Amino acid sequence: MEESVANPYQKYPVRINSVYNETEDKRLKTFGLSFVNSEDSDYFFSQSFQPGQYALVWIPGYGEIPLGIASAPTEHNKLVFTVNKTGKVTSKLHTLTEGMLIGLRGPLGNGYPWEKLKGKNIFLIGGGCAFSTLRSSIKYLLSPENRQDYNDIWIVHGARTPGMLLYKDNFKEWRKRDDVKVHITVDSTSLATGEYHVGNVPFVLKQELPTVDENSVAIVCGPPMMIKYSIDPLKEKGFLPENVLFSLENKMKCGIGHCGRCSIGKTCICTEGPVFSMAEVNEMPDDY
Amino acid sequence: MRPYIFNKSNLSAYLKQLDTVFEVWIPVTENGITTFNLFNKQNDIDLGKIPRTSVKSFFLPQHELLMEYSASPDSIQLDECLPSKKRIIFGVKPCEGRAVKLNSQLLVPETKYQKQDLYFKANQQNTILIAYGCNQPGVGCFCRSTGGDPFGKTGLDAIVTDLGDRLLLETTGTEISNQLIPKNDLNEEATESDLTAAEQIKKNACKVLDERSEIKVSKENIHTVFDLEIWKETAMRCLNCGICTYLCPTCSCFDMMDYFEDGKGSQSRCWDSCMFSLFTQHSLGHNPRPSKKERVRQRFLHKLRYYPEHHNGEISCVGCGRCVLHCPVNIDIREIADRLSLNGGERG
Repeated sequence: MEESVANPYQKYPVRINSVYNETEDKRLKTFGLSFVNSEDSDYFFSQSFQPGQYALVWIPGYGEIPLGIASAPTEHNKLVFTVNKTGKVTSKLHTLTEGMLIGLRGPLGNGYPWEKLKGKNIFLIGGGCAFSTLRSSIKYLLSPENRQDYNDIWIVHGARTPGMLLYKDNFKEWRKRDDVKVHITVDSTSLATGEYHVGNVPFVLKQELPTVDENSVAIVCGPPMMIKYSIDPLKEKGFLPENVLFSLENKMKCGIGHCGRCSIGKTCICTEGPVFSMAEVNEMPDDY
Repeated sequence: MRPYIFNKSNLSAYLKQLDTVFEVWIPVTENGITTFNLFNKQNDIDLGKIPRTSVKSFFLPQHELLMEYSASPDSIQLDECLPSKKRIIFGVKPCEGRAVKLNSQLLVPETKYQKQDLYFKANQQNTILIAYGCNQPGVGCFCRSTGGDPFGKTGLDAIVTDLGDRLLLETTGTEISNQLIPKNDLNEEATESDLTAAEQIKKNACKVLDERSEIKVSKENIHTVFDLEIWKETAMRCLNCGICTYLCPTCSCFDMMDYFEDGKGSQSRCWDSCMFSLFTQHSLGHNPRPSKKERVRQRFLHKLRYYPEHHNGEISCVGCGRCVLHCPVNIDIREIADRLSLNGGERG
């Protein structure tokens, strides 16, 4: 008797518990979701969900979009997504309110290689909506059950203005801790409170990061320009290409490596990624 | 088990035997275009031509329902629409069986770490392919160049060889192929001389195809291959019309969409094409393949380079020649493969 295989297009119903406007331009909203059926929740979290993975969020009648999961597996049964309002589905999602039902399938793709990162210094560098999987990672790393497995933890978060910074409550908490170094920077501000650096992310990396050895790993998530100009400062500080991790994104539909659009060369981002090291990205042909 | 043989004039009788158990589809020519139609008394089977559309339509239909659902603020109920109709496609070309196998390797992978497309899988389980071997390969055919055979049995349940006045029917041993054995007075086993005649026909067909050049997988550094002049040249001709991807039996890219009205909706998919700019366009505006050059390059490298790297060197082309015959600007995959496989990669 053949073992029955789950339909990869099946979705779980999830309910919107909270909607929060993250930024002053009101283009980024954070949604808190919970599973309607507890067995779906058990399945989701038993699939060894790792920070860095994504899920396909579905609005009936509008379609599905891939979103990085912003909550950590250690935040049991809670799901958080931060959504940038850009297209048809995300615009619709921005109009939804607490209590409404949507669908979800995942977790999909591969998270950051947490097993391999044990014992290392970890630098989490990000800006904008892409910080979502870093929030998941930080929550995971700073949880009591995981903190002792990792060495120094640094966070660098940048935005255009103070009003564009994400996860303000979380940052308040993280800044109080003495086992994590937090650097927040804004491109410009009229309020020089000393709370933020003023300057872009690459500038802060140059100025604040220590010189590192092969035991340090940088996870970089953000807009393409931030990533592009962060590479040189990271190299100067001594990060090896295999120790700089990116989370790539491309247009996706199926999320299971079948529909053909997210590939870069022979590499399928949705199943083989979205996490790749700089060394791996350098091997890819220039098709992104 | 010996193959069966019956008079060509009895083909219709044989199809009727099959028709009692399964839904039977046959190639029919209407207004000069050959496509697969349901078998009935009105239409005449046309085995000579390569059907315009491939059997891909039966495995990955142009439009396919995935889910039907009802949704309200309080509940979402989803039902999967897995296909279940058993059918026989009679008169496909042997290369199409290989195409189904190549698509199956991608969509229904055997390794447990990859997800299986249950829709394709169900279609595969429900669709029986009886091929009509190619005595005289068409002008655009090059199956032997891609590792195929004009009488190959890969992916097929049975194959028919045309001996002029009679047809030789050989089942391939798949589970369902027992049900394809001709019954009653059509049940006659072939003689030794019939088999010899069939062998000769196969040899002749192979001889014609073997004169056409072999398609090799390019092994050169991908960064070098990416910068070849050939992409710019081909893109200048290409219209990005997408006909090659729609007619190709191995092209399997699709788009997904939702439809919703009055609390009821459906999610379905339809063929998409790497020839279209919206295929990869991000919602924020960035496009990883912004011009025809990148899109043309993607299509050919996917077939001749990326797919083989994932599937033991097998290229994702079966040499049916549809893209060659129907491209409005005569872009020829053989020409591109030749230039790619030239040692070191010919520049310009």
